[in-house]
Amino acid sequence: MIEIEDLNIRYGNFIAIDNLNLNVEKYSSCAIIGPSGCGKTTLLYAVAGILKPSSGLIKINGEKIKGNRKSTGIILQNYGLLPWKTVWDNVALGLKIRKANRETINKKVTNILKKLDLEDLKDKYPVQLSGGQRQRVAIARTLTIEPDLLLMDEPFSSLDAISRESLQDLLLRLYKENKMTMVIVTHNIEEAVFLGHKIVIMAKREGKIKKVIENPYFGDEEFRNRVDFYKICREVRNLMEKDET
Amino acid sequence: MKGIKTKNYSTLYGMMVILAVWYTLDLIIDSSIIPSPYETFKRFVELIKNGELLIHVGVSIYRIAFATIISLVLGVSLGLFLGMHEKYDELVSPIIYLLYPIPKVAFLPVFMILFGIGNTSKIVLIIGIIFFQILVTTRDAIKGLSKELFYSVKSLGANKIQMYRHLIFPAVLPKVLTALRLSVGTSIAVLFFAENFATHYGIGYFILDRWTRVSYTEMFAGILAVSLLGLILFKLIDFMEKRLCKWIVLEKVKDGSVSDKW
Repeated sequence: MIEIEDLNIRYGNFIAIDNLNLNVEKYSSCAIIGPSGCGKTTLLYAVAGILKPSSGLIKINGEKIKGNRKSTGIILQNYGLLPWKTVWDNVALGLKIRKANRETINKKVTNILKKLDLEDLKDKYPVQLSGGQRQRVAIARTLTIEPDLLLMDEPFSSLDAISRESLQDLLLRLYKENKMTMVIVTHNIEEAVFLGHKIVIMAKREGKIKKVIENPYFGDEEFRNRVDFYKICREVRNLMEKDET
Repeated sequence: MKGIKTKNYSTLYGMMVILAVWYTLDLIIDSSIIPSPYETFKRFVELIKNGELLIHVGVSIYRIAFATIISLVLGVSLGLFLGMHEKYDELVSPIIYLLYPIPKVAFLPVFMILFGIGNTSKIVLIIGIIFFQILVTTRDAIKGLSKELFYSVKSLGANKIQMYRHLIFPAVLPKVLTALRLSVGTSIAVLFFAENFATHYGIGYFILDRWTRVSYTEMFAGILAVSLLGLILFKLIDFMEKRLCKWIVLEKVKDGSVSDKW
């Protein structure tokens, strides 16, 4: 699904991404983890078509990306909800922009709000919602455009532990239902292990991948309660800590 | 909607306090320079009824409204342009920062020579003041938008027009209303000054004219009209904010103040 070849991204003299290669298979999930400043958000922005690479190639479904791709869904930090739109209007935005007719919009938005348990909140404004509710609205908005690729930048980082886990469960469920490829950027080890089929660990301040771990247990909803979950978490932690010294 | 209820009372409260002070002053200073509120209101109603005050207020409203509309059109469009194009902003901002703090009132003689002594010079003067406030506010409202919001809307496939419609205009609107609220006070004060020259119409002229005629009751009736005019304009802006930016009102209610978080 995603092929990244010899990717370089520089801001002036600063090297954000240094000769990076990575493949993400179709219908798989890739978690990118690393300390802040490692270039993980930059990498995601490049895949999203927001940032132009200095050199190298990013292909999605064999096609070189240039700018915005129609069926890529993106959820950025701070949810990206418009404060002047109600939950309903925020969720409907993608469809409105794509000039869907009113009936389709009504049907799809109603469906998705129901699925994400947001029906009662449809007339509220983002300022009236909790962090977890806002994040669900952001997910709902992205799902309306039926993405085949979902990119997320620290989606749950500002939430408390309980809401974070329930949203991770929700995301896993949606992933299974919707047949899509996911890339999640996070600094949270448990999140990366729970949501990553492939866990990409980035090195501190080098813009390089340190190691890629395949996670055979991905998709197990009870994974957090298993010993293997902690084994993988420890492995990731050890790899990240080595960086510190 | 507790906040709105309190606000209604607060207008009433403000009126009561001012009336009380006025009455007291009238009693203490036993001179015709401060007429009693009762006499003033009576005269005010008479002047409204015979149409005299209405003409002057009407002319002033016309000048303010005309200047405001032109300032809005010019200020918002240039503000949008500078907010969206950093390169041009770097070129234009230094000029604006030099012009912005200049007391435009000082240029009234120049405006009068360039634009004539009629309405135009007075309108240009008010534009010179409001325009900068609206321009800077609009530009800053765009600059204050987070990159994530831009990317999010763009990633949903928005084209340029849709970016303006869904993201930029709604973000700018409440800030422009706030700027307007600030400029209403300024423009009335400046207009009062401008209407002291070369005109026989306008509430500023009316007040000064009654002063020179030592007709203090009518002068106060004129001041009352200015005060009511300001109040009505403020309320109009409040109403527009409530109708057009419901979300901002909700934020104010939630935080007890305006939040800048977005």
